[in-house]
Amino acid sequence: MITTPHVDWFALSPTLALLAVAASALLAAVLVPGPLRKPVSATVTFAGFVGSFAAAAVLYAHSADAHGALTGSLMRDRWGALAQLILAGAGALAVLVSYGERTKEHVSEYYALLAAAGAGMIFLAQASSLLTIFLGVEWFSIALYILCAIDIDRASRLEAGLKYLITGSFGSAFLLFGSALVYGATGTLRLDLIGRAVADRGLSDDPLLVVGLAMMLVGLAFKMSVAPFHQWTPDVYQGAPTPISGFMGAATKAVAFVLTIRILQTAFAQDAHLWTVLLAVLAVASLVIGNLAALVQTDVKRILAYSSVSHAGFMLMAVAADSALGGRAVLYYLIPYSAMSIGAFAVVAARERELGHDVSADDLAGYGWERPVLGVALWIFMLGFAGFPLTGGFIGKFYAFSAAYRHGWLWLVIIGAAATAVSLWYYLGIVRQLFLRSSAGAAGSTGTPSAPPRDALLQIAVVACVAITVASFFAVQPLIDLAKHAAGSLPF
Amino acid sequence: MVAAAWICLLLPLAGALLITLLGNVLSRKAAGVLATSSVAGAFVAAAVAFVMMLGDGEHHRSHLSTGFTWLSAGSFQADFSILLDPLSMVMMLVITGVGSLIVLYSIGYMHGDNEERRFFGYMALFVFSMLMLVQGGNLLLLLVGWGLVGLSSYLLIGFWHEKPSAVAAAKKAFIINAIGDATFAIAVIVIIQQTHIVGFDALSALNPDNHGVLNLVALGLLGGAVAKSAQLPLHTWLPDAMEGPTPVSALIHAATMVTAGVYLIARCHTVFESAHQVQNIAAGIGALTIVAAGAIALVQTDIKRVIAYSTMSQIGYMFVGVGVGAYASSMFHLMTHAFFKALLFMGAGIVIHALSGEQDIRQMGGLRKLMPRTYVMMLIASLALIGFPLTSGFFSKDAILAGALASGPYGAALWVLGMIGALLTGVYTSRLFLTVFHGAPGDLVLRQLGPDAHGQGATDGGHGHGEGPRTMLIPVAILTVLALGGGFIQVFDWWTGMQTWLESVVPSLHEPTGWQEAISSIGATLLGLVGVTLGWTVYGSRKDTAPKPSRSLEHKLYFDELYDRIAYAPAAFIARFVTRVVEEPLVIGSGDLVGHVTRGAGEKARLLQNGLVRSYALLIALSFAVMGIVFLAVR
Repeated sequence: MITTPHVDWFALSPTLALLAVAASALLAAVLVPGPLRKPVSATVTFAGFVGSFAAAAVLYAHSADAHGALTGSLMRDRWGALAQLILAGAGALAVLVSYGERTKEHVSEYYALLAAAGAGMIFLAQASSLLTIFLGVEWFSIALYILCAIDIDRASRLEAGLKYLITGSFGSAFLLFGSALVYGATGTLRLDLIGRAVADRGLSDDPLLVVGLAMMLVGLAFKMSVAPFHQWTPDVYQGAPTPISGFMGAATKAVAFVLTIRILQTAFAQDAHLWTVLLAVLAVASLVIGNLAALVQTDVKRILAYSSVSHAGFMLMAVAADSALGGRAVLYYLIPYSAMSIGAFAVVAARERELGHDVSADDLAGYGWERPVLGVALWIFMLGFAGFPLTGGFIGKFYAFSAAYRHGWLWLVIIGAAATAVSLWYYLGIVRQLFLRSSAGAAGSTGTPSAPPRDALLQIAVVACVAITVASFFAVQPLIDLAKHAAGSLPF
Repeated sequence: MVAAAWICLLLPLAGALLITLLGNVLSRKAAGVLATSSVAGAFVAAAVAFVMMLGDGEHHRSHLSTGFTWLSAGSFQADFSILLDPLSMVMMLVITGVGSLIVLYSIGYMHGDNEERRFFGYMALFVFSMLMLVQGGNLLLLLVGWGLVGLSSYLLIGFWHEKPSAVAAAKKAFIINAIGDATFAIAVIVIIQQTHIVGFDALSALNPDNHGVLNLVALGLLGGAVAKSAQLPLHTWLPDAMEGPTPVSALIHAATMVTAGVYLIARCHTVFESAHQVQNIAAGIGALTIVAAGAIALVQTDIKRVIAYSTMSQIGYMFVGVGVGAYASSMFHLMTHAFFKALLFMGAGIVIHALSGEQDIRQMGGLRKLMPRTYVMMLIASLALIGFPLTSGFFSKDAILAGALASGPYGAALWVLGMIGALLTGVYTSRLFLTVFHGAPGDLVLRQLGPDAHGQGATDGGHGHGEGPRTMLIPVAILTVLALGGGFIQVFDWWTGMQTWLESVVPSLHEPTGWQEAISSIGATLLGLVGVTLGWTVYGSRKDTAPKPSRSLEHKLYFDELYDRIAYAPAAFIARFVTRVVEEPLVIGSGDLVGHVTRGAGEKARLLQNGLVRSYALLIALSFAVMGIVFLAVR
């Protein structure tokens, strides 16, 4: 006899909203006549993300005390709810950015998959048992594999999808194997019970447990694009449809970090002496490899991909600090970072649509003069990535460095600061292309006669991203308060 | 008073925003007028605040005004606030005063440029950033202003974006400054974590017994100051920054931004006094820079680069001053230097303007008769630079040297270097002045300005002998007066205007005695004059008889080459290595491979690709193996 557990439908509402939307968008592929298909499915998906955002906001307001939902395999807390807000916002922006690009078939499927990926991530933000974690990871990953390869007539898309699938499965296998070992060592799937079992039974040096932890960290590091598990990142970001690259850069990273912190703090607090050092080492690896490899790239999407690797390093510094301050720093940083990531890829997408091929740094020559709004926006995103004042990136880096310093890791702060200085080199390289060179210099690469008209929705999304990037600098207080309450629901 | 200070801060920002937002609605001329009036308005506001501050009691002149609370977490609170005290007051007056003159001058200088509006927008943005830096009420805002001046300097150096050299110089300046920003930021983080306050009172709240932390903080701050003020060894960006328009060099790279490092050390003097080894290092760096930059200036041939090295050398004096605790003297020199160095740059600008952009002093010569007004004011600026008695530079430089002598044996060693610097200053200044204005006019000069020239260089203004329109000459005239008489606000210890003014904020550490003042003044003046005589004998008669300069000086003491070797080359090597060994498969995979596949040359490529994914998996597995073994070993 199986008893039905009590289901907290309210806690599930952000996920359910998107699931419903995914189903509707898929139905639209069949039921809605051709010309209307795109506007309908895009509108529905956008509404789904907005609805999910609203639901997450209400959930945040009504989850002051963290408690389990669905017999503890999901947590209803502010940590998850704030992550859901970031994810839903990223999804809504991605819908806007995608609109102008989807011209051929598979329009409804595209939006359905985007909603499904969003639903998986939003589910994962709350997941608190090894089972739901694996479910959530696979759920959004599979949707993303297909999204990467959705334009099956383009070899680069197919290649990206395939590579993502193979390496991603490999990463997931590690996560699953690790989960099995941890389950074997502790006899439970729930994160909080694992943590208690480790503490009560003194399992923190159990060989099964530590190897399981290492394997789970490999799987998570893969999703966070932390070096040396990052190699899929430039490939996939370059090959995937550009709005999807932006969405992955923002949302995959956000959910992976939120989940990692939840797992480490809830289940493996006793093993902090192991994973703090490991994460600090991985942070250094990401900073070094991400920044140096970005220096020699020519394709803008690859540069942004390596920038994403280096940002994984900055955020890992805060995770490795193993403190509520670090948790706050990551949650705060994810807000402007997501906006900058989606915005930067959106500008690249706009240029790509005008040119009809991949965008190299040279292809941006003089673009700032042709499209001032997009040019200035990309410029702001680059400065934000570099951690410059007047953007949220400044506060985010400052917070992450503070967390590492308070942990006593001055050396890590110094490496981070040096990495910031190096990163300016390639960020400025892009800015230089945008503005500080006349477009006449790059022969034949600009002024394509068939340049499509300005894409209003994409511009709205970019302007929104700029607004978030800049506003997060001035309105630090409310955002930090949100992050503080969210971090309060984890047992730091 | 506080309201005036806010107006002073926000007016240039409003100017910058208006110029940006109005765009083409604004005529080019109007953009210049708007920028000038916003900065001039800021000066008026600063002057009003100054007069009101004079009315305050000597120890009640510090005002902190909070705009809004930026961030508060527990006991920690960071406000968006401005600090108005005698120290920031001096900086505000210099920035807005000299700034408005230079922006006014730019209207004439930039006339006819394609993108004047953008230029004036940037200039107003710079003045705002600089005011933010000096008025920022806490360390975070100081850091914000610090970054913003770097940004606006970057924008202005690279203003002529068609010139690859200008773009490269802008990037170099930004990146070297970013190194300083990074060390500064680390210092701020350490201060906040140690004291949990972000205001300037945190500086004195640091535990005086914790030498490790104090030294770390002081070194971090010093790193920021050295990069921003172009001192050894982070100076290489400043000469290259001369690629920017000349008013930019005058405003940012002579009068204001490059002196921010001096301001920073004066502002944070309590930390440096507690970590006095670091303060000694600051003074030592300054003294070395005086001599090294002075020596390099001897052999440069670009008129603006000579002045740039001279700027480094003069800021070296200010570093010596703050390094030995003669804060007021340093701020005094900062102010007079802003006058005469801005004047030198503006004069150089007029010369360059008249010669249609020529900057090589070997092409000049004999300009005395052709540009008499420029001649007179360059003469005055040069005399002030040398420290000729009763000019502004005389009083301020000598005050620093006397302070160094008063501070003990280490200070005496610095004093000797400062004296050598005075000699070098005399030589390079007379060389510059004589080669440009005396001797026989070169071909170029005759072509541009000679009797049968068709006014090619003089078309812009049509005034005088091609010396520019009135908007250029009026600010130059005002600065000439200031360079000549600006030193009289502090005359030895008979009348100590600056000293008294700053006493409540940054009290000086040592009081030089009368004979120290005397020996410094007489010595520096004599050596300066010896330098001039040397310069006169070598460069006065004919320029081609000048001795051949040493190679190492021509190579600017090989600093650029050194950085190329120790920083750029290894980074590029590692980047290439990382790419080839770790990342190359990906490049092949995504670039060439796509081509291969689509062109149908499949088989070999596909093998490669499989190998690629396999190599990713291999790396993941190996990394895991290492992690697992380490975890098992240390658990």
